[in-house]
Amino acid sequence: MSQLEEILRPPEKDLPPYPAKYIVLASGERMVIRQARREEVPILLPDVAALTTVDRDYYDIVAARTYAELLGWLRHRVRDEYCLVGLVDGVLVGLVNGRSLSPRIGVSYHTIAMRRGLRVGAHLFAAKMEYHIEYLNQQEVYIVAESPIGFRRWMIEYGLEKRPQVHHELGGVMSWALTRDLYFEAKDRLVVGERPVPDDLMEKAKVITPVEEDVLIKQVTARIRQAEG
Amino acid sequence: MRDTYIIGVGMTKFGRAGDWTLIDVLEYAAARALEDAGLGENVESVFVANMGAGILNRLSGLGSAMVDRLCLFPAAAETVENGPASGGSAVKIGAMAVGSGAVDTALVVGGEVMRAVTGWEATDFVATLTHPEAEYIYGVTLPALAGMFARLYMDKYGVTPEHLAMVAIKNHENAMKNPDAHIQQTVTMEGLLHRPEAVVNNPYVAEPLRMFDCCPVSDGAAAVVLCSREVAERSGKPLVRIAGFGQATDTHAVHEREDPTELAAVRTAAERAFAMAGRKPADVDVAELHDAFTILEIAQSEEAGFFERGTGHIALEKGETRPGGRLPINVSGGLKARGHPVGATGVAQVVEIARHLRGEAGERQIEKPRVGFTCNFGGFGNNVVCFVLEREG
Amino acid sequence: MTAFTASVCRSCGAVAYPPRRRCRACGKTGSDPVPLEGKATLVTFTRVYNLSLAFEERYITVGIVEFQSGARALGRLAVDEPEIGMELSCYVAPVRTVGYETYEGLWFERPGSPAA
Repeated sequence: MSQLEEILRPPEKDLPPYPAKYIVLASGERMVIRQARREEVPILLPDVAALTTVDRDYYDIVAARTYAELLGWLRHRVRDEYCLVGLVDGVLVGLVNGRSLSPRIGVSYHTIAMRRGLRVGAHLFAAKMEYHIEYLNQQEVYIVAESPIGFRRWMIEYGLEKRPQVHHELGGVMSWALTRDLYFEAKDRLVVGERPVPDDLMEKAKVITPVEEDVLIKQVTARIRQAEG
Repeated sequence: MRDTYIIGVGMTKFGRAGDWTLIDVLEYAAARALEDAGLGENVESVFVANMGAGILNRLSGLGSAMVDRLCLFPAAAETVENGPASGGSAVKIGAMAVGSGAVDTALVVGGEVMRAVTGWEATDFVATLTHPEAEYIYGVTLPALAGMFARLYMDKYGVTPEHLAMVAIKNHENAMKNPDAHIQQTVTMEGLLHRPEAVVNNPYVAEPLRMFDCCPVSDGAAAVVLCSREVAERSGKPLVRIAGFGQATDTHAVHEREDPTELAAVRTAAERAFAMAGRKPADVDVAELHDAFTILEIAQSEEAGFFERGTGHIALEKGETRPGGRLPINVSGGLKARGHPVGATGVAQVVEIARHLRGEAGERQIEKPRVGFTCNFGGFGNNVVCFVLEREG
Repeated sequence: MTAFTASVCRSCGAVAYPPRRRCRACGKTGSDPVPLEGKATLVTFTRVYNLSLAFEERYITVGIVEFQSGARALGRLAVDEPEIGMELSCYVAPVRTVGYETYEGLWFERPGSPAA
């Protein structure tokens, strides 16, 4: 590594692992949530890039920013970042990311659902909060919402506290925080899933299969316009 | 009154309009129905059903806009607004126009683009049909009214959350065979209710109703072309007749109804439609009911006369309302899975039944039905329109 | 007494809320106002989650009650664990803010609770 690169790279620190869990969705499908490895980021990027073209429900903004965050993690430009992925039969159905700001404080970045209508985003966001509070043992997690769906899910369902003095790394609007107390209050109704993941299920979740771009766009937009329309 | 026939049907897929405007969506469905009817631009009267264009899309005068877009000049045109029963009302008015002899042909197209606003705003928009002083100001939404109804109904008749889930499971499964459905995703009892994950998978919306007891917020449009017998015979199309229609109203504020577990307007509207058709509920081979909430499919199946009061959930449990059962209900997926663009729904129900009667319902075709029924439920049951449709020949 | 009134038909005595000039029971016109007050019984209720933007709560509880006069009304419940048939008393307080407008409405609580 060049001397300059050494200066540009944040110090390497291994975050405690997030133990994989599985969730039975409304469809009966079993979704595995596990930590993505840094070297898996290139598998995730094309799907995230595809969503930057979807101007519905703020997918474009969220995807563009997530792309930058994941690329920053891959190329060693963001410190202490992590990514959790949701997989059904190995196929990517959603991802969440964030980072550890300090031993006490976590920062939530983004949540992307690649399949809709099955609460994949809600499950993944809950897993992210679980990681910060129960595995990184942090006191609180800073959160902002960029979309109305995010606002409704996180701020109202978790009853987050306002943190007007905090400048969240994503900038923009008011910062909010999930405290340990709020987390444990909400846990019963928002954080679910079973551990350990059975071997056969974990085996299928070993390799991330990205979604084909046209399938992905169809999944998230549910557009009614037909080709000949 | 002379008979009215359906010679053209068409609809968009239901879902999200994206960059399509409300007029684009209406045009697509109307053009398909006109094409199917084979009348060219020969339509004398146009009725556009819509509930929310003024609030959601900042549009008015949809009837005139439709004539202009389709170049149907100088056809007569108007917009029909009757809440979530706008579609049924427009078809009824179209049938009255043809039936009276005032016109020989009428295009009825219903549509809504609700996804132009957030889910919050869409729910609030639909809530504007509740009583302004006695309901709306309290934050009451349609799911809230349905929740209060469901609590009493379930207690009284022993309907369980599993019965409600059975409606959702059936209708989601039906929609898998309907390419026009908004939601193509099967769901399971395990995932909806029995696993610990259900608290997140299927959270309460208005207790005891959960997310999968409620229809989605959809965009889309559906259209029919109505005509006299003479025109229908010339068209060479299968003869599908509007044998009967019935409409009835009830109090605006739901709390004023003596028995809060009754849907009196459904009962009266259905009775009127059957009387006009000279038919009885037992004659019906296929029905589309207004399952904006799962509980409503069960309650309407009783009020319409298909099952004794308090036994709709038992018929459901026995599979009598599945395709292949005694009376298949919501083969299209219903509002639950085909979706519910409010102004389109009443027309889409008629389109679905007409397709079955014509034998053009594709993979989900019910075997040789002769008589079909629809129930379009406005407000929380304060304005209901029902149809009996029949295949001739 | 609340600022909310029902109506009593001058011909047949039927009570209506919201007040009606023309009676739903007998069809005659002409009614007198009566206050919505006194004890009420809970007919049905629900906790509503997907609320409009006007609400910051995770959920609200609304219900339908029947007053001793026979009038029925819908209102907010300030009761944690409501039960059908329970007795409630009524008070008036803000229920919704739209823009700068605050609307008052009916609230119901267990008799003897301090009004919110």
